[in-house]
Amino acid sequence: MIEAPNVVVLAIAPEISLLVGASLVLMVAAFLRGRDRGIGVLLGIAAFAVSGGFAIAAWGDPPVVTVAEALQVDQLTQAVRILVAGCGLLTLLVALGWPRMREAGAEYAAILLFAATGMTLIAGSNSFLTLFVALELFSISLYVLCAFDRSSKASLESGFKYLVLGTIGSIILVYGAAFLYGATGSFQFDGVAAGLAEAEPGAWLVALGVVLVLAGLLFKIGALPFHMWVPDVYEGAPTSVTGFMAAATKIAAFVALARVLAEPLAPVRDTWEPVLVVVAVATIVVGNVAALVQDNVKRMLAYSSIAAAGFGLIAIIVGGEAGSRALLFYLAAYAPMAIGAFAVITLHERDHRGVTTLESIRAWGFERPFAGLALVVFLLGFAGFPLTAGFLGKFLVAGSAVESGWAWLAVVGAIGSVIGIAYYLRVILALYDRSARSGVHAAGAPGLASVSIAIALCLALVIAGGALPGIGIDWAGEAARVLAAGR
Amino acid sequence: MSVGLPFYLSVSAILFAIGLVGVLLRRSPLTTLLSLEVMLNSVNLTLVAFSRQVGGSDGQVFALVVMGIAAAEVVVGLGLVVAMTRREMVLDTDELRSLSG
Repeated sequence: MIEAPNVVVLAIAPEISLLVGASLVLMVAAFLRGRDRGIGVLLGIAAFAVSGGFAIAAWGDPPVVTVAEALQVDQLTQAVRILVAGCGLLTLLVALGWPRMREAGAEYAAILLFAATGMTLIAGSNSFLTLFVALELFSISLYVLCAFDRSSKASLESGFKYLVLGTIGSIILVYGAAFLYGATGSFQFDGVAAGLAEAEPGAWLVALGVVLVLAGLLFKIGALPFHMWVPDVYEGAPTSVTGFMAAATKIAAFVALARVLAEPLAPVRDTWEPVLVVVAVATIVVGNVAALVQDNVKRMLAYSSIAAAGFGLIAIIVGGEAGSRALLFYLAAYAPMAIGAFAVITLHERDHRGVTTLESIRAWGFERPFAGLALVVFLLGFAGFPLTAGFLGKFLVAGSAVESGWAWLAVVGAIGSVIGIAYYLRVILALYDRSARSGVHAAGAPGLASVSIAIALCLALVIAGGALPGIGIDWAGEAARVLAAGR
Repeated sequence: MSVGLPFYLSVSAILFAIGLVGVLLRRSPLTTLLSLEVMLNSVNLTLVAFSRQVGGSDGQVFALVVMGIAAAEVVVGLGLVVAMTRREMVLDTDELRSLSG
């Protein structure tokens, strides 16, 4: 008889609810052909809420390794589950403001649920096999979401570009995993770590494997030199999807990278540390400088998210308890700012019926006072102004870098943030340009209420994260302990 | 002369390079997808070769999973190509540059 693998069902309840939700949404959509399918989106929101609820209920439970040792469910996994569920929920609220959601809302919700499943799975992966499958689950879903607006050539183009470049990234990752397998004889994280600890230093198989695995994950994060896809994809994708990618994909990919570096690749720190230092500095510099010259606001935010990825890499290099805690808080603080900023752009695209540029956004802040003010807060949060969650995130990262002897990296990050203020101010000044008359008028249309709710929620999170930091920091600290313990 | 691990690794590295060059240089989206498949299969060859070397079947299982995922990837890719054709976009990756700057 074949022995069945051990599966602790309760431990993977959040993923199960996401998948059941996705299937339900698709089934309901099949019966509602031709009618209003907004119900699919509501079901999707419910699925995200249930999934997040399971994760919150399981917060603090002892860690479990389950599904035939493929998945480790610990505090870090729970943290990512909660964050991704929150991102998905907010994204669906934003997406409701998009006119095409009436016909295609159910498919959108289902694919978003699949993507979220991949993101929570990758955070808990315990072997390179799980890592790869989870990575592809969310990547392929995102390719479809990027190309979701089939009436827009830009959207199709961004989907195809993402597919080609993203697949190269995934292939590089598996190629690296294959070499590590050849060197250590295992795909399991603990097996790889044990094999690498014994491997002779400088073995070419190991070096090649480590570099390729790193390259594959850096690709997904959007760090240099694999950042070329980010601006094109962010610009062309439907804006709600862009927000989701900036927030949730970053969280999932960063946590996966942190876990891979803390667990299987911990014994070969000497090999990857110098690579990451160079990548982090280059990413911060290029991201910030390129953002300075953009006129398209979505494209500018894409470069700013590249710069943010560079900043996150500093926390990864620092590692340990302080570094990991800073990384988690930084990512959690970044998510509502990104979703909120892109939600405001969704609103502007509705009003303007076109691309959001520094020109078209001129004086729009008077037209929509609340959305304008929210965008200002989100941009100040990106820039790292005090009293926003963004400030605290950057402060924790820089502080942990200084404490552990990486002060010069913190200085590079700070210089990048100063450059950042320049391009965020360009948008804010355009938004409240008194000399211009806004050619864009606030359009009342169905679905806009949910966008406003999403913006308000993001705003509350960003300000609460900055004003009441205690809870967030404790929470990030608990989840980060997993990475600090290592193997 | 026996055919050993270095032989398989070299062949897969060459395949990988052919695929990568194909993605970077060929202009038809279909050829791009084909080149991606060549790259994926080079990885499969590496996995199976190492699996043989290490013993056990982990590498072969991984190769099977890679094949399944590659199929899913191509389905989405071909779907996008069809959608692009319907929108009467030029099927030439060099012409896909409305997004740049």
